[in-house]
Amino acid sequence: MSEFDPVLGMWRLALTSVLLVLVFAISYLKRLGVERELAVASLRGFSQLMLLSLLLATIFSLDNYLITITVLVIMLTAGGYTSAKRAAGLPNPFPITLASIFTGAFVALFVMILTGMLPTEPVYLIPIGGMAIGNSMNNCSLALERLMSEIRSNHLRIEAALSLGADSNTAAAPYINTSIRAALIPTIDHMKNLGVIFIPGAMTGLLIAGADPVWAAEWQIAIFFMILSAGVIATTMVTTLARRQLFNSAHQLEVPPRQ
Amino acid sequence: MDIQAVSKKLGEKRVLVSADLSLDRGEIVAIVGASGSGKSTLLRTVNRLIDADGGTITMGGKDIKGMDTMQLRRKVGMVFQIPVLFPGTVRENVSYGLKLQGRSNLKKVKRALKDASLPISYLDRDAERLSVGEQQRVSIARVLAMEPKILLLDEPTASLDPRATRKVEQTITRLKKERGLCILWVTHMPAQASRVADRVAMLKDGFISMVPEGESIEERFGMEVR
Repeated sequence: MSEFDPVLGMWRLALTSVLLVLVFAISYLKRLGVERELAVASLRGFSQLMLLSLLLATIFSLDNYLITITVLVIMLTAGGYTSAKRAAGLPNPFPITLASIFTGAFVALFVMILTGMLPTEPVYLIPIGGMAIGNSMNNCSLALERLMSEIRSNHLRIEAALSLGADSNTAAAPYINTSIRAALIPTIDHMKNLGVIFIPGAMTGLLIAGADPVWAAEWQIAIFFMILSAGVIATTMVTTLARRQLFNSAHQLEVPPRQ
Repeated sequence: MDIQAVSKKLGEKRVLVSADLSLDRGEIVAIVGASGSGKSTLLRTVNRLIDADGGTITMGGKDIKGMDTMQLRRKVGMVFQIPVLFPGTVRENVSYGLKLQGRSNLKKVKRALKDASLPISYLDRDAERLSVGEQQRVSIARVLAMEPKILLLDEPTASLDPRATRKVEQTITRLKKERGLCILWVTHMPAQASRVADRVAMLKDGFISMVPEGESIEERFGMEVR
């Protein structure tokens, strides 16, 4: 790829925004009523990514581990907060989502570093750490949303199991397993179709940057292993911790049934 | 079993103010009351699906709050208003509680089916594809298989037709005699209460009052308490 020219880049970006004009035109003609939302989303996306690029450029140039860890902690906190909002009805969900996303992402990143697949420079740690945290956050959100829905819909079945002498762990197990499975389906489907329907993001980036396709593929596969393991750890942990919040020590379900 | 001054608030509503009731072995006590009068709440405090706010419930002289919750629930079987079955066969459903205790055996499952007036040939049928009446008898069999000392029945015939209702009533009254079970039967049908119960209690405004022996329950409450 040719040398990057920021001014030329901006011009090219401005020209590609003709695609947005097309989107607005379709929305207006079809009376979809999403023009305002699209405008806000486009502006937000543009300003957030531009700000991020400036921030990353500064952080990468500083090459400081304390700053790198601070950035990861901020990502983690934002992820925990976003995921916690998905757990309507679960008391005090933030510590649960935070701990689960952290554990999933940390274990996966640690193994990646240990195997030598992931260099420890900020330029690698921040984007790949972001991937691990972001995907764990998505998995946790999906798992919690499904778990709360399953628990409410199966309130009577859970109470029937409890009244037959099951502990809360046994009574909730089918619904916890369903939630973990449901949360991982998008990641698993994504993995199944790697290289068939699309070339995934990290590999695309490496190929554009001129990397060897085999090396790019190896990296992409390792990243998927990382995402998958982080997701499994995070969802298992988040549902287990959520279950402890949903039942008390007398094995009583503390969530009201779906009305 | 003794229920003494039990109180319970659900949200802002004080459902039970001071409920008192005692039950003997081999006895069916029916609790009649309008919808929302706290009948189900009372049953749920007995097997500790919820805890009472005040008062005491004792079994054999022991306060249930001092007992292991799971052990208590294994002694106190509960049948819900709607048949609540788990996905799987009749055999899997009936053996659920036994498996939890690690003492599942086919003989006990078959006996429970027989006690609940269900044919043995139903063992491998999909429980959720049976008729509602049959499903309710599966849930009764599932409780009976655990050989409980006390049975809590929360309007178990509410979703059944008259024929299926009579069958369940006969099954329960027979079991009371055969096994000496202590049964608390919640119903909103005074006629059913007079058919099945040895004593009838009325739950109203959070208090329980016993209907004097010899008094016609239907005359006192009408055909249905809503």
